[in-house]
Amino acid sequence: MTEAEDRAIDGIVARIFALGTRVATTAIVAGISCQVMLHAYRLGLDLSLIGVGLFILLPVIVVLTMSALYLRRGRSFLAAMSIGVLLIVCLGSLLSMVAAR
Amino acid sequence: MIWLMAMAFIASGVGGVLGMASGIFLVPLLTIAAGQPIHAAIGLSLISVICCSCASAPLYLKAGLTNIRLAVVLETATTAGAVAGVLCSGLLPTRVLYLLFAMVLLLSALQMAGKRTIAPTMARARGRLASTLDGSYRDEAGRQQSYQIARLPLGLSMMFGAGLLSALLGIGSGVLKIPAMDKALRLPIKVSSATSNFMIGVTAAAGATGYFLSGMIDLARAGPICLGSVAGSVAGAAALRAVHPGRLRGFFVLVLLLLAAAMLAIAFGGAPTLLASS
Repeated sequence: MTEAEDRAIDGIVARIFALGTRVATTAIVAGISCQVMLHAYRLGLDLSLIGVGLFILLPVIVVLTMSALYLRRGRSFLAAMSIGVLLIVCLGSLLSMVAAR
Repeated sequence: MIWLMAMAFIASGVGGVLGMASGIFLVPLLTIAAGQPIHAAIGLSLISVICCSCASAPLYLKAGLTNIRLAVVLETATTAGAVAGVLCSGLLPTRVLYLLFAMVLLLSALQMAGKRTIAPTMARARGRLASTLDGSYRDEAGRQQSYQIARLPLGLSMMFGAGLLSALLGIGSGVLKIPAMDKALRLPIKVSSATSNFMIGVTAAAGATGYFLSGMIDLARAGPICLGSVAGSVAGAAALRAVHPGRLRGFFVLVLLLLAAAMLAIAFGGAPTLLASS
């Protein structure tokens, strides 16, 4: 892979982070505004939860995108590493759900 | 709500100026000042760490400082450590968590007081994998600087510990990541800061998902924490251009020592909280 291709992947990842942060922040601001100004607590809480959930998922979405990009460019080792990270996160989620019961 | 936002803003802003994650300041603030139980504070702090990482990642990526190929390899170790940390967190008594946190604060104060140096790369055979992760970046003068990755297995094992500590205490784990990046992998400081910032988001997400599914994250309080953290990290980055962090280090070494003393006091018998639960 050339340095230019690496820079292109960096650019895509940066755009996902920037867009995701903007959308999540907007959802939380809208949620808190609903709670404080409109006294619509249920709607406000739901909007805030969407924003918080997006923040938690954003790094996972980035790794998912990276795995797809590396697969498309034939970088099998880095694709395998990205998928490995996603599998560990999924395994951790499963174990946490089991432990919580 | 305002208090939570203010605390997240201060922790993230200070962390941004000093090149640290917000968790090291936010967990003590939430437990000591807001009277939150430590498990709730850790869950909220992980969310704050993710927000700071996401907000500042585009800047580092656009500057070409983040080595995402290296990050994704190291993340296999940090996320595995984070999963282990989430599973251990329910088993450890809260007193042990306070003690561990106090130790991390003390070590962070020592790290901050000392000068950060990179060990020179030894001229010896490196694995083929390590050489595929080498990279380059532009320095302040605009010159392209190449760097080589060294001692990857040692770096990976230290990163497992960093992930475990991150999920266990709700921090970015700079206390382990800095030695791993500087002394084991021998990365330039700018590259290690940017790559670490990228990694802490993924590691904290692995931890936060576990806490979320275990019902240990107070979602009503998470919204204000997110907003404060994003605003704080942006303000911290802006302040970094105006203020020389070296001048602030002495003051924040003292702050870290005071927070460590407060956490030790709680671990050994409890201390009154400053505010009622907000």
